[in-house]
Amino acid sequence: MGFRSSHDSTDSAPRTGRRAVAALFVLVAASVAVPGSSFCETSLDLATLMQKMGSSTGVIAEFVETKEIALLSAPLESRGTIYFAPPSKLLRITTSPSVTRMLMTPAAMRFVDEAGSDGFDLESNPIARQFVENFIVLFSGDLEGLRERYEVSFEADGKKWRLGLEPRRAPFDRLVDHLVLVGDGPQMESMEMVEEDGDRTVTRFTKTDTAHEFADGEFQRLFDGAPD
Amino acid sequence: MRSRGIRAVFFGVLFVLGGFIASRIEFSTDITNFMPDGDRAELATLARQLARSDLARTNILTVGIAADGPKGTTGGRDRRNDDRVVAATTELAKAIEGHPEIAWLRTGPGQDTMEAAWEIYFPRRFHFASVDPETEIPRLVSDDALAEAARRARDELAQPTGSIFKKMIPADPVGLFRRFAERLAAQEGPLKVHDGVFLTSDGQGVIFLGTKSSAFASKPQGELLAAIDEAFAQVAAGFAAEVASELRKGTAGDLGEDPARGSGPDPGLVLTLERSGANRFAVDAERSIRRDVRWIGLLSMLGIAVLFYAYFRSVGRFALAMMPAVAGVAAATAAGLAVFGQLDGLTIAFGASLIGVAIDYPIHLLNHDALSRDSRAETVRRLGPTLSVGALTTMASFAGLSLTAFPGFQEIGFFAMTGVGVALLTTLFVVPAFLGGATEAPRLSHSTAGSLGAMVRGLDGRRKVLLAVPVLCLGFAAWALPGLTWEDDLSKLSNIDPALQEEDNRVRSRVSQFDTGRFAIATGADEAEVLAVNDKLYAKLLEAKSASALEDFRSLADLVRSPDLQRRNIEAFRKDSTLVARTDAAFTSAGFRTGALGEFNDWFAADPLPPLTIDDLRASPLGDLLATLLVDLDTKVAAVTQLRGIRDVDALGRAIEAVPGARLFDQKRFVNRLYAEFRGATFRQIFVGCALVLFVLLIRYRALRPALAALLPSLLVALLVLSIAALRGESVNLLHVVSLIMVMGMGVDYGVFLVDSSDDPRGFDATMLSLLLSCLTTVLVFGTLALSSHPALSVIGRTTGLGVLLSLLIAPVTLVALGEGD
Repeated sequence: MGFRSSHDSTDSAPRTGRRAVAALFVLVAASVAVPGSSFCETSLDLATLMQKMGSSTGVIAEFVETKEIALLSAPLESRGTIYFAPPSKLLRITTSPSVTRMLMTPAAMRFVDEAGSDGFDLESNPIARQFVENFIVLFSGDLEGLRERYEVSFEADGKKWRLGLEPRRAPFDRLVDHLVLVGDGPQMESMEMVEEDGDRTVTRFTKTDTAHEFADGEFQRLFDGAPD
Repeated sequence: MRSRGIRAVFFGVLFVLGGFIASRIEFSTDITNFMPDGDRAELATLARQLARSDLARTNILTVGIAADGPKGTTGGRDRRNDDRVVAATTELAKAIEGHPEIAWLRTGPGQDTMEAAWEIYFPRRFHFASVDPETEIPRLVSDDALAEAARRARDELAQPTGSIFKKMIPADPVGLFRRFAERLAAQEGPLKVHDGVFLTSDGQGVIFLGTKSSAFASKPQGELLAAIDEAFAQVAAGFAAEVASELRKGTAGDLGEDPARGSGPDPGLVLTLERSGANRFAVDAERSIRRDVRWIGLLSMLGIAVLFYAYFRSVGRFALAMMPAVAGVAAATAAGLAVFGQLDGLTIAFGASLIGVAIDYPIHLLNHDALSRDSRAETVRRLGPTLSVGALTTMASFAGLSLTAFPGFQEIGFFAMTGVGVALLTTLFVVPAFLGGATEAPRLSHSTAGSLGAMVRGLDGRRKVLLAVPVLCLGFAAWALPGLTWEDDLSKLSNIDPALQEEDNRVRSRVSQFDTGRFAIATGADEAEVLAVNDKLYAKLLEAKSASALEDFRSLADLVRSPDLQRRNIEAFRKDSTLVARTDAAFTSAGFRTGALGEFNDWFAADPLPPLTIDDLRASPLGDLLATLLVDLDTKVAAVTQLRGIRDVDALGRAIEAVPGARLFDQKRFVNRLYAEFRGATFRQIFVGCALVLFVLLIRYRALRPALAALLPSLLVALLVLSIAALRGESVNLLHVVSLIMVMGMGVDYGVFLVDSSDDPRGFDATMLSLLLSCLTTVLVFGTLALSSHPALSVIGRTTGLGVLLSLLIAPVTLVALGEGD
């Protein structure tokens, strides 16, 4: 299956910025949230995958993210954990190379690194909002909505599956060339994002718990202050 | 036949004056007319321009959803409600945007604003690096700073936010644009954007609109406010129908809505509209004043009708009594226009009030005409000198105004003197022509006049006791006046509806983060000069901010700086011949590919873009931002910096004024100080006026005692009115003082009338009745304003009413006490 990779380079990326990229991580989390209990041995279809995505109670997964960026002489690697609380709260904590914490909801994002907090409203940027809506479509199992937003390709071979997403709508399509999500039964194994300039980010997930139930104290500790 | 001719000439002259006034009249409210010197005149112009600017003409509407609770509460902030609010806000905006009174309307930042900011500033990131380039730029590009910038860039690439910086790093490794953009973003205020529509932090949609007319033009503003109400009622009805429909269908919550909260809309949801704008206060004040004036006017007219019917058997006599004042105002307006070119609204308002003194003259004439056995011509001839002295003393007291340093007060002085002079002439030469045949006073007039005369004559044997009255008055004043307090904040005289004020505050706090009415101002002869001053002011404010003397500010320098400063920035980068190599080395050490900073290197090789100019910005989609930051002061240009969180206003003011051409402008303090100066000047003119009045009286009577008998009532009344205010704990303001001038003018008239008729018992009785009628008429015309709920009108009414009543009581007493009643 060949993903198209030729899009015109534009200057819009700096303006779309971190909100857009941040939103991609929501997409990752959504992808991780594929409950496994009802996966059967027969080949999975996209409708079933989407339906399962909508029924997660919570997700925790460790990740290793590798960025291949043309500006750098060597790939950048980050490690950390993703927490996802339905319907829409996502926390991404990195522990290496530096400690950061990014908390996001459809309304806003709060990013904290060693230098302090930097919160902003996702809705002030229509691109960022589009990202989040894309995620919501995916999470809610809205296959029709997903197809409105992406060229969707899906392959499955037994428990193994591969979901290809190619953005349809501007300006998202000027930032991201395509995404490939790969899983094995209940486990989301990796997500690859290829940007329009050829830079790649590959995120591999391990120790995935797709049916996590957050205890009250745990939820409070992780998601306290998250805007609705 | 002669009377008919006079009447024809009078109406002809009035007609001509009316035509002249109608063709020339141009009301202005130019506060600079009331400024004492050039320096503060500049600030006054600024105050006026700010009042005329978009800032004052801007209305802010917030549309929210209330959960059937108190106004201002929201029906919960979630995506569904945000969508509903955005839809309602957009619908309301569409419904009103075509209104002829709306100059512009905005509900969001506009699609092209962000694009424009990028297109303008990213290529000029070096131009805007610093306001102190020679000092700061070497620090920004030191080896250590470059190593830190490279490390930070690499760390940021590892973050989810990496993509935004990835595109910028090759052209801007030092992060100059980011610094600039962060400064701009910090001033964005509390507003968010949802689907292109501004939303407040509590989820209310925002509409900004500018009006074509001044905020104080109550008629068009009233129509606009009514149109907004009507449009909102329709939008709210549509919203209610939609909610009801959703309830019937049991529609599920949309994207992002927490299912746990329930999926349908709350049945109690209602759409709310809250507003902020100076026009609302103006319209509200006008309505309140009009309402008061209507019923007070009715009461006043009724009282006057009864009074004139009782004493003249003719209500039409009141029209005659008003004729001199009307003619005086018309003549004074025409003369003012001819001499000054235009007249200020305040001049006309205050001047016309002062001409109200002239009502004494025709009443005195009408009353003597009715009571006297002399022919009308003889009565006019006999009263001529008295009325002339009365008018002259009044004109002399107003002459004091002309001697103040305030151009506006000089105009008022000229206006009032002209008006009183014409009123006198009208009384002596025109009013008699309208009187018709001989008139006989009703019995009531005779009996009242006789009783009043007898009452005064009854005092004659108690002169020594009566001498104690002025002394007691002075003693009372000496005791009470130290407790007198002055109120120079005239805003406290406005009858602002607290609910309206609270709503206004609520709306403003939702959309703006800067103090209202407090600015740092940079002025210059032209835009180039003002930019240079503003650059220095900006640097000073940055210092203040870093010293926590100021929380933040929004300056023109955030958008455009002087060409010289922009060139100095470019020069500071370019003169460092090692910068490209050092930057490359620092970034390579941090893991970047060699040559990754090609665009940065290219900038040093190419010709830089020319500095950004105000005209460039004006022509861009960001041009609207200049409206409140750059103000034309006729002869100068001012850059206005909005401020927030000033720790010590005076200290910041001193720091700012260290920059030549810059100052801190606190609008409220400025205006209050101005009113305090008006008050002081008015008091000074009262003293000067009194001296002139005494001079006129001494010439008239050639003796001190009758001169004092005529003058003393007005002086005592002034002291008593102020003392009573002090005793009541009532703060005194400019309106008290102006009202007092009128009362004193009447007090002198009463004194003169009494002194002049003291040697004629029958004439004296008639004069006493004149005083009573004059006093009652003044109380009915002006004094009834005391009943108004509007504080300004009430002040005028109380001061005038109390003043003329005291004048009526004191004038005969001082007359007798000084032995002039023999």
